[in-house]
Amino acid sequence: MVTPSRDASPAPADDEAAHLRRALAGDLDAFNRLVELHQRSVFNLCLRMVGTPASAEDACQEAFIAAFRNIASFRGGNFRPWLMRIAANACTDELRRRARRPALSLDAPPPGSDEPPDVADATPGPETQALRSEQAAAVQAALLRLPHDQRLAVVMCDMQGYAYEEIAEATRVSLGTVKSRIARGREKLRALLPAEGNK
Amino acid sequence: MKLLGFLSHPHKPDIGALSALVDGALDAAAVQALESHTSGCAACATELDGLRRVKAMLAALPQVEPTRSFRLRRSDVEAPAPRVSSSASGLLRAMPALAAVAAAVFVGTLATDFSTRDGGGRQATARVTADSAAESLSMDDRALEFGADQDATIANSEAPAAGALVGTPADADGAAGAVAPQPGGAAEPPVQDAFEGEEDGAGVGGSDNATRLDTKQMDTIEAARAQTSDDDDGNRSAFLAVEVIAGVVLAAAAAGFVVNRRKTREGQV
Repeated sequence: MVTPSRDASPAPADDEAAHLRRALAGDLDAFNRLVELHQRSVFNLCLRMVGTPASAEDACQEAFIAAFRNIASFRGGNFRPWLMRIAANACTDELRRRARRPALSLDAPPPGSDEPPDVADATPGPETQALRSEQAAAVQAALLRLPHDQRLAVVMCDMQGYAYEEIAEATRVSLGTVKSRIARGREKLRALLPAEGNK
Repeated sequence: MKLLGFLSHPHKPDIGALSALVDGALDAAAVQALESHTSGCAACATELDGLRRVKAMLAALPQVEPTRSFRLRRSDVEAPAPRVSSSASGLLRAMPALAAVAAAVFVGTLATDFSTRDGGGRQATARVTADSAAESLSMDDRALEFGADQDATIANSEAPAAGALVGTPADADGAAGAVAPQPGGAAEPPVQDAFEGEEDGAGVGGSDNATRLDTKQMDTIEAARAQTSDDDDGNRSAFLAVEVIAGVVLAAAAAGFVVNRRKTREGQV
């Protein structure tokens, strides 16, 4: 049973193609239209890859700058995997930058500080929200302990709903490698996360 | 039958296959085979369940709305240096700093070389020191030992420091400042003090010091004199080598700078 893609908001393909054509010609306004279409998913990818909103914003901004600067290297095909690849690289750079600053650590911050704000969700009570928040923090912390490749594959698959083929295209590896990275990543998360309260 | 089969053949789950099953990435035939197996295999059923739960956990993480827009401004893309860049353009960016360092080294070694040739530099000072140490009443043991070793120390500290500078533009600001004044800096004061001390007062230090200049120390002074003249040529060759290297680096930096400017101009939208 395929999980419906959370990322596949119906961005009108025609519009995107037109924006892309003009962006390829160096049109910054056209490129910014693409930014508007993709920034939410790029930001969320970055958030899960680097762990904090502040770092995610930096990585996301760098990703779009790099994408515009390197737009000439986009050889057609699907824009989104190409963009995600650039975002993943920007996340790696951001993590390296963070590692060089001694005051900050690579691990997710302690719960309560710099937490990603929950999506506005009217129905659950405060206890449920607190529980979700705690669980989200635990999952995020576990994610950061995965090797980069596994983390990327798992985030793209389970959080953004990309198919194996798209992940293969974005990460430039075979389908078998994608499958293996996702499987190993999930196994590792299983080992890192407690069983109770996850049902 | 099935149960017996399960008991006698404990099964190591194929995590890759089960994971793909969770993602719907298997073809229909494979799905059917795997599902029918899992229904009778506790190990695989447990594994499958665990994988599904992890996937659900990840899927339950909230999608966060960014609090800012990531639309690019002209200034974002027209700024000179991209942060996600290759090492080659990184080297190009370092060129101005590299040129400044190379220039400092070039000038520094030239100045040092001239002072050496003049004889008013450290070697001459060392000789004077050695001479005055033999006669001086205020020259203490510490300064004497320093005088004997001083040329070796300076020669050793100049060349590697310069070499290190050329290779590490990141330290350019601090290190470049250190090279030029160094000949007149840390190495100099003790020697100068000893010399001036001798001039100021013959009586300073007293006869106690004079009686301590025994034959062993006279040998040291002689050795220092011999070493300074030997070191002359060594130092000069070292300076020459450093000057040549610095000159080459300057030229390369200039070339790189020109190339970089051309690239930047071409890259503007």
